Amino acid sequence: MKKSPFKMTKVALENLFRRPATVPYPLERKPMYPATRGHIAIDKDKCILCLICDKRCPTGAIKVDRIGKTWAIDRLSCIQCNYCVEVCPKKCLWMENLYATPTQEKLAFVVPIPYTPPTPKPKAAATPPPQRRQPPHQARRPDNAKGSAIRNRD
Amino acid sequence: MSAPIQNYIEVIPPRLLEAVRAQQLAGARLVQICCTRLEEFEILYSFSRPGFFEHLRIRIPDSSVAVPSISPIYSGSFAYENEIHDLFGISFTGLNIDYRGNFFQNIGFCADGGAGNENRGKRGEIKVPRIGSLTRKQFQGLEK
Amino acid sequence: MANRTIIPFGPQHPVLPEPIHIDLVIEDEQVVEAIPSFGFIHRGLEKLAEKRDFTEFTFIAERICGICSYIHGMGYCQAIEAVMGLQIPERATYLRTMWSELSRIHSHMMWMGLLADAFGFENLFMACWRLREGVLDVIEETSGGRVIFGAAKVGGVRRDVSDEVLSRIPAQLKIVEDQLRDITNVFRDDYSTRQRLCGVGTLSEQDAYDLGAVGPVLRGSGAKLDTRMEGYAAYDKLDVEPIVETAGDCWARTMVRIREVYQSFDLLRQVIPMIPAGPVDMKVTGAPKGEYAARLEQPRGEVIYYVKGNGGKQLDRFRVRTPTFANIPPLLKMLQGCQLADVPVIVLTIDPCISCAER
Ligand code: SF4
Ligand code: SF4
Repeated sequence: MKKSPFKMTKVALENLFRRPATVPYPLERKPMYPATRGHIAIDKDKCILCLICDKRCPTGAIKVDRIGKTWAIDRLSCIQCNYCVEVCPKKCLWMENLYATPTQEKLAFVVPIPYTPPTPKPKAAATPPPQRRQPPHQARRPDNAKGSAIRNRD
Repeated sequence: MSAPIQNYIEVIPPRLLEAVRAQQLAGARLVQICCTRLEEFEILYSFSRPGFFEHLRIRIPDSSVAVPSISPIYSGSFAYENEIHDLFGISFTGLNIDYRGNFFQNIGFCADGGAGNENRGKRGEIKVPRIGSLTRKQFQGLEK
Repeated sequence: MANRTIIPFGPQHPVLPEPIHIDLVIEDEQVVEAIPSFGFIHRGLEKLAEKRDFTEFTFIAERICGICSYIHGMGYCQAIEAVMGLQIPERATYLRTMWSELSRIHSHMMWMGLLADAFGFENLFMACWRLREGVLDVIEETSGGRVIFGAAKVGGVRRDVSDEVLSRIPAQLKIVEDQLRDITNVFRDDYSTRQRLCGVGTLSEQDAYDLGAVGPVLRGSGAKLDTRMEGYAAYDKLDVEPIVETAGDCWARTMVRIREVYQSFDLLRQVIPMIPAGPVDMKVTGAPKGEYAARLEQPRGEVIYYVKGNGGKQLDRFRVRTPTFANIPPLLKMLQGCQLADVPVIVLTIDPCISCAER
């Protein structure tokens, strides 16, 4: 092991004559890997508005509205954990490998779902429970322990 | 080498130092000290030596009971003990380096320190009740 | 007697990526005492475990630290599995081993860059981080994330890696490894590097052991302790030998980390052909009841996950003792008697990861 002040010279010179390690971003993009977790996408024809993804999402990013028949995602709070994809019974969610586009609004991505939930109709007509009128997530969110980490502080 | 066996050994607080000294004589290294808030407080001292991973457990009814510090034996324990003092409000007697509740600086957010905390007011006013020094039952009562 | 002055170091300091505050008591240029304080980024993650479903908490456990994220998630799962008595599929244990070695490489390479930055060697810093991209690419290709792997799961791993991708990894890593030789030679032999690191912040083996140092700090002082030798995941089938340097100074700690990078490359070469076929996860039913303390070796040292379950979906207690927390008392010892100008380098050689120390 000898001390030498010129050890870095080789690395530095190579660096000087090499092409830049970065890509000129907007002109050229790095290819994504198939496995990259980019953003969640939905096949709206298959969704049955079962609310499972809404309930299970650890950050509460997905909001499913059975009454208004929409599926919405807040891309800013989604952490790309893939959990909703795993739990969806109809396999209508999947993870795209492109990152989500920047946005200024939360809940900007709302998808109307064509499916009509059939079962509650007869029951709801007989004895409509009062909470039914509200979209479920609004009734549930504020004081629920399943909200975001910030809301959970003691 | 396979994973060492874990033993949980119950110790009464007055005999704690004795048990810790026995660990030191056996050549063990202090791995961690962990406090758990249940109906009472549980403090777990973990020691590791080749082939063994042992935990000494003491139980104290509430945070007004002072616990003897093991820092005369393991001088690195002050970090854990000061942390427990700041987060759970349990005070330790005989600490080699006592921060008096200033180890975790963010006092408005984390729990208030325990007894004998005369330095506390210097860093700012404390608005929260002494959450850290409550047992779980008292704590749930507070939430309601 | 010289005048005593107190110089505050941090929470904002160019060398610190994360906030820790140290009051340095100095006499002339010499530090006589260092008094740290914490709590700038206490996030209350341990308390959060008492509110969340234990399977969902895996996502939070993975985000305790942004650098050694995978091992945090894996350690949490390992503790839960031990409490519940689960025997996870073999392929999952091998994949876990592979990912934890990949995260060790990327963490150490990042640290090497930060160290070079701390003693003012910008060029070396850039070179380290450029090479680290190669490792991050492998991580992204296998797990889908660059730093947050998102692959830990109670009962296995969250995603499988196809054999085709696996077979490509050794060649990709070989390129990184070959280029890394030039850079680690600089750390080893360069005049200015040695001037900044040799003989600075010496910690004797006895002190390191008594003060509870872990990881490269402990091994740099000559103690032969590596939690991987306990054989969790698939390490019992691999040939892991702790890497030990005896000098105990900053240079020794640097050398331990550099040699660990090559050891990890070697372990990856061993483990990837050994990965068996089969399922990668299992169904988990029931809830944890009982307690267990899992120990793993992170890039920064030994980490403890203590889990206590009461048979319900929420845990009674989740405690993580991170390596940085254990390395704070040794750091204070190292700082005593050093020159003021060496403080940033010494603080950096414990590889401080303050957010995980505070959780
Ligand atoms: S996306 Fe899947 S889980 Fe979510 S509501 Fe639709 S069917 Fe149910
Ligand atoms: S990927 Fe995770 S965070 Fe994002 S919407 Fe799905 S479950 Fe929620």
